[in-house]
Amino acid sequence: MSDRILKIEKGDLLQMAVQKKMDGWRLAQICAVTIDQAYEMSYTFVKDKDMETLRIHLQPKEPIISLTQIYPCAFLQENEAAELFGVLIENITMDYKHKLYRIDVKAPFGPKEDASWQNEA
Amino acid sequence: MAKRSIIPFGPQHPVLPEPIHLDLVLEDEVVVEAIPNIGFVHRGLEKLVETRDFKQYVYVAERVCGICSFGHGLGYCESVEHVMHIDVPKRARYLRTLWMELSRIHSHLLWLGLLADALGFEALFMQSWRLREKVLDIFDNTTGGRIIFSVNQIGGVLKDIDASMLKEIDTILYDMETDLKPIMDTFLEDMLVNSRLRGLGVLSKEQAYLAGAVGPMARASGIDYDSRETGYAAYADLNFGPITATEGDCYARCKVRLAEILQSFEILHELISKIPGGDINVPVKGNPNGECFIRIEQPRGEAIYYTKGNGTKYLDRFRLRTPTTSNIPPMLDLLKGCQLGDVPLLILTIDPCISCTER
Amino acid sequence: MRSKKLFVFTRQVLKNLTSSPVTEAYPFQEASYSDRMRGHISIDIDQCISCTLCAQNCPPRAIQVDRKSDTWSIDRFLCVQCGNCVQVCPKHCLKMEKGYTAPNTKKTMETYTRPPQKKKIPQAGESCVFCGLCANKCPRQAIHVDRETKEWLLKKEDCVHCELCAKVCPKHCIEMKEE
Repeated sequence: MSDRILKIEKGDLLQMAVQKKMDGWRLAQICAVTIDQAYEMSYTFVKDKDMETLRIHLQPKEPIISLTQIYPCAFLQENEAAELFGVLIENITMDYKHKLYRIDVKAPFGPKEDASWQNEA
Repeated sequence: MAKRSIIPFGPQHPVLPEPIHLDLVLEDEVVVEAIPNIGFVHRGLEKLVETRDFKQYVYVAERVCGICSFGHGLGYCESVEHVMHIDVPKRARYLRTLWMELSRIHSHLLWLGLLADALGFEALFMQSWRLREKVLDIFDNTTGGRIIFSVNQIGGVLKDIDASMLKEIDTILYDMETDLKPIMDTFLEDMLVNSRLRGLGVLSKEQAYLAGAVGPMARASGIDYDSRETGYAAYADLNFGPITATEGDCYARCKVRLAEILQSFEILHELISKIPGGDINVPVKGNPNGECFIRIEQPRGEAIYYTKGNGTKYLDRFRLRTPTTSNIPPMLDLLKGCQLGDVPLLILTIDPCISCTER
Repeated sequence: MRSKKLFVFTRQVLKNLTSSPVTEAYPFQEASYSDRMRGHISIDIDQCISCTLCAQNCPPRAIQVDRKSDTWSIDRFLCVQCGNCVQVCPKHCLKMEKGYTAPNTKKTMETYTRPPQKKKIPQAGESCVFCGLCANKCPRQAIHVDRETKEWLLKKEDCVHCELCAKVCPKHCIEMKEE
């Protein structure tokens, strides 16, 4: 079973996603993980038996570009990452603006100690 | 000039018991756009992985969904075992595959029943569910639960099935095949059912691929992909291939699911004849440290499990991308241009599981 | 090609009309449960040693064990019948049994109190080789073994009298003695 995880820079994401789409890969999954005060974004692509994950490390408060321009189906999972983790994702074509889930807490899965900055944002 | 109006659909709607809300933008009777809105049943089960140790979490993972419950438990166990490099005994792998395929049969029969119900064909709905009950009885006898089995464990399975019971299951499956025949004929050949399903909600292969459709939804549009072929559990030893159709309409999706039930029967017969003896679980030492992505083919489509351990007994992150999450974008494509009266049926044909999606 | 067949389902309907019902006549007839049914948890309280392993390993936290008052309580409406407690119980005094919990309007705790009994604590004998297996197995880390200084120490206040150490000892040198 192949599960490669490639660490890439934030700036390369769009270009690599376009490349993947041209090569016929399907966007399978987007996942955010909170690591200390920062985030890790994983974009998994699948082509038949191959699976490849692009990994980007984000600094706190660092925004990331949305993939919805290339893969429109990314909107649900990007909204989820933004809402549950507080990742700042820019230019989602269908942005729910933290109204996807009916939850009281802002970014419940996000960094614990320092939740204050999210309320300002 | 057609009159534009917006009609809210759901979250409570007779066609499916789960809460999904859609804002349907209509021009006269034709849907021009659908804006989905979920989030009524978010339970934060992924977060729970940080407070329940990794062996306990199997039981939580199972309870993500009522229908694919075994699959979610299996996916979670497979991913943790992959991280911890545990070699699961062969018999346990076969037993897992057995329960997984039975789950597929019961999920597809449930869906067929719901489809018949959406068409207003109550008698067919009843017959499908009657047949499904036989699978649930097998579950009850082998695991002790009808829906939630709690037989998976990191390192194997908890309960064994003896030879006489396996033989009995084999006989029940042959009986079911005979009983399925008239139901299948009705779905595929009856004029009334046909006129409701044929040519409705056509999803082309390109559309399906770009929108990220998975499972029977993708295979009905001609995408030749089944993640069982990646060879988890005992699938590497078994003989099968993806079942596809080319039409991409509701009829094709129904046909693919029916054919998958028949395929599952065949896989199960082969599996029962091949099942090896031996242990059903291995002791697990230590804690998971590392990460991995695993694909499992659920009845509804491909699900992706991500596990990240940090060397303690609590995992850092467990992510579950359910098939419905992937199937909602193609569903929106289907809805564009359809009649208002067809909306419930089209939503149903993706086999949505909203509480799975929100976890 | 649309099919032109009609009355495909009629045979099935007629068969259904003439056959006996497949459902159980439940309130009039007793419901049948399978042998492996996971219905509710029962406890043989005399065997329980209040080790709290079941409470620690309960995913919905339905079990509470009080070691001071020797009680074992379960909220049957929180219990999800996963059977994990049965798996971890070192004394095998928990069992998964048939039959469901009766419905109620309130969630209540069901408490079982253990009759007083003399507690036994482990003591290593002379043939001890200080292998440390007992310390590894102890659910409460109450045993401390130092191979170099040949010490075998027990923290009495942490011991839950589960006898696991005596069971795993390869030299069979651990004896359970009354305090």
